[in-house]
Amino acid sequence: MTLALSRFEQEDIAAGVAANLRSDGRLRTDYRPFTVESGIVSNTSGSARVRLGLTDVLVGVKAEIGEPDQAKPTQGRFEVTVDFSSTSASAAAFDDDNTETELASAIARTLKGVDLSALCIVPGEQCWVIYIDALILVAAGNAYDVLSLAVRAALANTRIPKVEVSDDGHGRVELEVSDDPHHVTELDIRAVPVIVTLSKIGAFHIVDATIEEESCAKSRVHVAVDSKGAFCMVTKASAGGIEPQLLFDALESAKQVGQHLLSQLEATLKQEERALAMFPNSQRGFLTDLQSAT
Amino acid sequence: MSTGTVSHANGSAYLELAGTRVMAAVYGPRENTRAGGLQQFNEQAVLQCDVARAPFASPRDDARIGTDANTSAAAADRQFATSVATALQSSVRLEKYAKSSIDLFVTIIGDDGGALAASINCCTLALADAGIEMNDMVTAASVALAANTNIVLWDPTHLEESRASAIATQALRVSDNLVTLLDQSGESSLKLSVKALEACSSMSVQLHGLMQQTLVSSLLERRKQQLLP
Amino acid sequence: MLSRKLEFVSPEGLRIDGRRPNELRRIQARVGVFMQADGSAYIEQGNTKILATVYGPHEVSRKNKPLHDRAIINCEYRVASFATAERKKPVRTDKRALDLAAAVRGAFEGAVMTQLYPRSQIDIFLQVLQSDGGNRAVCINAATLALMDAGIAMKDFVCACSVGCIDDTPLLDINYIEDSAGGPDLTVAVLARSRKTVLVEMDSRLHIDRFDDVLRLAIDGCQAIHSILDSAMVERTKALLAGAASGADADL
Repeated sequence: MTLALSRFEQEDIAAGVAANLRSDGRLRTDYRPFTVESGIVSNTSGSARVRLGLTDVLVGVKAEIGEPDQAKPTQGRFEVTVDFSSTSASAAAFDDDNTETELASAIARTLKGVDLSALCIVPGEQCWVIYIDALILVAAGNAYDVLSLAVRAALANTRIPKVEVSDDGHGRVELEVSDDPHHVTELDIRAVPVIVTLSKIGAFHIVDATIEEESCAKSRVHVAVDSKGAFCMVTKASAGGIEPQLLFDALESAKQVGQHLLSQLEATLKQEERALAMFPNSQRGFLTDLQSAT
Repeated sequence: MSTGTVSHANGSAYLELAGTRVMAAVYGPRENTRAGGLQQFNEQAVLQCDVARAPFASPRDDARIGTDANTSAAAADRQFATSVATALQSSVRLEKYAKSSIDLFVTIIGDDGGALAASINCCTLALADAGIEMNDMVTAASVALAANTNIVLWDPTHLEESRASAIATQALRVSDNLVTLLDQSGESSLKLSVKALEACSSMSVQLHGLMQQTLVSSLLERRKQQLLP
Repeated sequence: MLSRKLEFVSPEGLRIDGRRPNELRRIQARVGVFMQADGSAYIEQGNTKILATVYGPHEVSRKNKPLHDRAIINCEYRVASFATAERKKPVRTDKRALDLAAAVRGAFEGAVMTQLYPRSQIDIFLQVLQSDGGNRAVCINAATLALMDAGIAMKDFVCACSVGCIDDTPLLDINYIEDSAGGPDLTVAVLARSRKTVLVEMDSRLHIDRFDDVLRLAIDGCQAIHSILDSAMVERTKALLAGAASGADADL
């Protein structure tokens, strides 16, 4: 996901970062505003679309009954896939499985700490499997962060029908899945973190890099931060090196930015809920005006 | 630790840390024959890594039976291979070997914790053994973190890894003090993470000395053998 | 078996979702969804929701050979894994998807003035977000809008519509349940003004005596869709004009 930039463009961006005034006027630790719309794909258990800059990610969550992981028989499980939609800019260039699986496994790793015992139906035999399918509609920088925000928003939006388990007297169990749209449970998403990606440019690190900035970053660190400020995953994906001291500073700012992002996401979702309660028939999703939405 | 264990490879090494046993072989620099490699001109060499895990390597294998688990294990191995390549990429002087590929083959014979760090160290030795130019030897170390007691365990075993609240692996280029790989899974606080990384760094420095010694002694050994006949 | 017992048209003449046999689903369209694409459009037809993006005309990509007298149209079709009622495992090369993409490409090769863009390529990317029958037709409609948004010269609007026929009753714009009844499914795409067909495709079997009625209903449906697409396009153009007039930089 990189652009070919000239040396002058790279120097210009690096100088901006060094002066703590980036090309779009932001400070090194400033995040751009993002928009969230949840519940826009009606046949899913939960969905959300998050836009940050031009990057545009749609996540659909489907809950289906399946078998639990043998190692954790009393828990439900997550399955994550990430797909660069063909609508994504120059899809052919990004269309390698590697990036997709890397993104998917990063998200799966951030979800490891989530307690899914509420999703167990029959221990060792049946549980809810939460399929998280992400579509990257436009990839224009900072895909990890946007993806993790969208996943969290979609999980917050997810409703799982209640299940009645009854024994038919012969040792077999029967499941009855409620089809009442109000007879549902929500997921406990307090432990779901967001990813903050830090890019090292020159001797500094920045958050929320644009695609131009990403293209001249020497190395990138993805940090998953939960609402308590704890790290759930730290990984450095690119080849370049990073000084330990800079790394510690980066972790520090990841913690602050991550917690801020989470509270911002929470506030945005609440606001959306209120707006929806007032104007239930307002146009949403892809039908909304391009200009007013951005 | 020893080098030159695979005779027909350009370079190879074997590393044993109690129950963790890793072997690495380096082939290259050679013509890049992988898909698409021949079509385009590369000013730099491509560093590629493959990881194979012996079926008896780790105790968690019994949980891996069944197709689903197998595919996720394959994905985990791919991720593992990418991590090894990432760690080494910046220290190998790829620009010296245009149009070619350097292939690393890692075989994990036994995994009793810290397989990623061991693989990186073993690859570094193998690369040095193959005579491939590097800026420095990359050394890696792992620690296990216990969140409730704020303890950092150096070089944990498999049992310790499975009980820890988080595991961190860090690769360090010792001479210019650059972190080339960082990977932490599990939950920890900022303070503990920093402590863990510092622990990794000091282990890396120790390992660096050890690996240098190994290389020197293997060179001396080889010279002796050449002089004998 | 179940579908045989289901009554697709009630004695009052209403279908499962309450429509009359010759009634379309509610269609909502928007032109210009993404800023970085050359053209994009989104259509909701009932519960079928499809995004179309157009890139081009641009240099021919490496896997295709340039044609010296006209542009190549490249079409890709993907269904999101959450688009169907039951989640589908993502597959890379789905034969039905390739088939559908080829059909859409065929329809536009007859409508886009490809001779104006020699040695170049036009990409049409279709992404299904929610699938509830009539995907083929909705894809074509969305692609028409996206191509126009990209400013690519076309002879006319290409409007498409699908018609089923159950128990001798032709049903306009069938949804997923009606489609899975196993009856015929005719998809027609026409050039709106000249009423020339650029695509006619049918699955299953239909008596030749009924075919005329079904085809006529489909073409009528296309005419109705044309007016909807046209007003979406007019709305978009007005918004762009207003943006240009007020001095704000429209996303062109």
